[in-house]
Amino acid sequence: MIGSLCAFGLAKLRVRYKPVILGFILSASMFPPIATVSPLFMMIKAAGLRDTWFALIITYTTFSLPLSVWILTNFFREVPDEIFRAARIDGCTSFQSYAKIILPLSAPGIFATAILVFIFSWNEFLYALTFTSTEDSRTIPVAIALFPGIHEIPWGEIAAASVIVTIPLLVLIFAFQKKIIEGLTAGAVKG
Amino acid sequence: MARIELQNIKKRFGEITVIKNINLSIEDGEFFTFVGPSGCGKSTILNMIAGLENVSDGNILFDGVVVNNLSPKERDVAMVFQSYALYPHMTVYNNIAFPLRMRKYKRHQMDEEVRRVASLLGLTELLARKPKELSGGQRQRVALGRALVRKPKVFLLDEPLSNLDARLRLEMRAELKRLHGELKITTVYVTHDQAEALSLSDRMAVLDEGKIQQCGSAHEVYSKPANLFVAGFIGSPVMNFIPAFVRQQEGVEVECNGILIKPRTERIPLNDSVVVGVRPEDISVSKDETKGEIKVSISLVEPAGSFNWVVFGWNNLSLRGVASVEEGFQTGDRGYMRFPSHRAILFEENTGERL
Repeated sequence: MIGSLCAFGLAKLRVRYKPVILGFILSASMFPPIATVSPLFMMIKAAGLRDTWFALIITYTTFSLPLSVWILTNFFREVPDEIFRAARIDGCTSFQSYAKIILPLSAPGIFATAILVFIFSWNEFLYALTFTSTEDSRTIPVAIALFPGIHEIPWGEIAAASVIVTIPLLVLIFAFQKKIIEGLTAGAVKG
Repeated sequence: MARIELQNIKKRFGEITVIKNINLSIEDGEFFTFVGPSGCGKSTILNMIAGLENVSDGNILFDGVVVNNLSPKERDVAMVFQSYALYPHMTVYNNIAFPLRMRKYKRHQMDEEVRRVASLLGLTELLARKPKELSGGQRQRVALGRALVRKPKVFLLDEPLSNLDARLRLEMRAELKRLHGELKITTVYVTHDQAEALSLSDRMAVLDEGKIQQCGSAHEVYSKPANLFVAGFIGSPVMNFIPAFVRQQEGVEVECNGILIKPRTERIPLNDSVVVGVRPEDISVSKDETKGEIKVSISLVEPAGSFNWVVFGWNNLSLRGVASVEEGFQTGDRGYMRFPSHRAILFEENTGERL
């Protein structure tokens, strides 16, 4: 959601140094995760968020923003300018035209991005392993990885757990599949 | 309802000046058209009146009040776009209701207004549909409805008919004229189609290269074009232009392709080189020698239904004229043309101005 607001600004409003901003956002996602783990760990420890889901939520939001901003900027650019202008003539402020026109029209793009980001966060391993230590806050990939005991590796259980973990993802994709495919912009302009 | 004034309007995009100093006033309730070729800046002017583009220099006044820094909402303008720009995720009803919703109308009042506009435009049956289920003409009417529903001060139309097929375009043209007659809202219309401009507008401005070439009623622009550009742009088929030389300054007599003519002029030519302009519809070609004195050879016949357009060679010139169907002209035939010297218009060659 935050990503979509930012992308809207970049796609449709007149902002100076647009390419610079986009490049800067991209550069944030260029660091290898392992390089950012230690400083992030310090920060989270200092904030007293160690071993909570909140720590993971913040990190995941930060790292998936560049991706979503980039994808959504391009989706929003495809909404014809004339529709945006029509909304302004009809009395929308920029934010209203975002909420009432651009957002519903880019729904497929937003769903696609949401699913990508969800998959990324669902499967992420490194941060989850670092920032969690007890069973209360552990995410599934980490939990599965910690299955092996000292003397044996329970392949059967690992396989079963892995299959079960993919189920929510599949359900989500099936649920939104129609939304993603549906060409919501059809009929806006001639063609 | 508003009277619009444009004072010394200029528009620059970066280094390029698109609009060069435009002064104009559009009267209250007038149907005013900007017409010109693509890229002449007519849409830019409309966007500036709407408040979608800022002016680089000059003032825009509505009823004597400067509106340069007001948003489209505060200016109370409505606009119809070339591509209609309907909201595809809303039904026809919601599309038309949207401007009212943004102005926080009460539900029953909104409903009343939407139904009034829908019946005015014959959309009542279609209110529950989505734009993608409509034909081009229906979408166009929805776009009109969305603009009309809140009774704006100024109604702006940006080439609204250019995406329709030829028959529908004629129907919608008549429809627009009827609506304007009923509602009397100040309307500014932009088109590249000179026929549309001639038939719709009370007054029109012919634009080229960011400047107004001529401003006047359809009749003035057609019969007294200010310069060669206007003469060539207005009227279809295009006016014939013939290079000529001045033989006599007083009571202007010019030699034009071997004949001497005395066209009506308003001033004396300063240069010897002039251009004679004659509309094709004023030149009639016949097989009968007594109906014309200039011998020509027909090189092309284009039937127009009730008559034929003929392209013919006269010495080294190729001109266009009309011939009745009964003449039965074929390519390569001989014909006789009468030169309509009283209808000819004289232009100065170097400036292009009418004399």
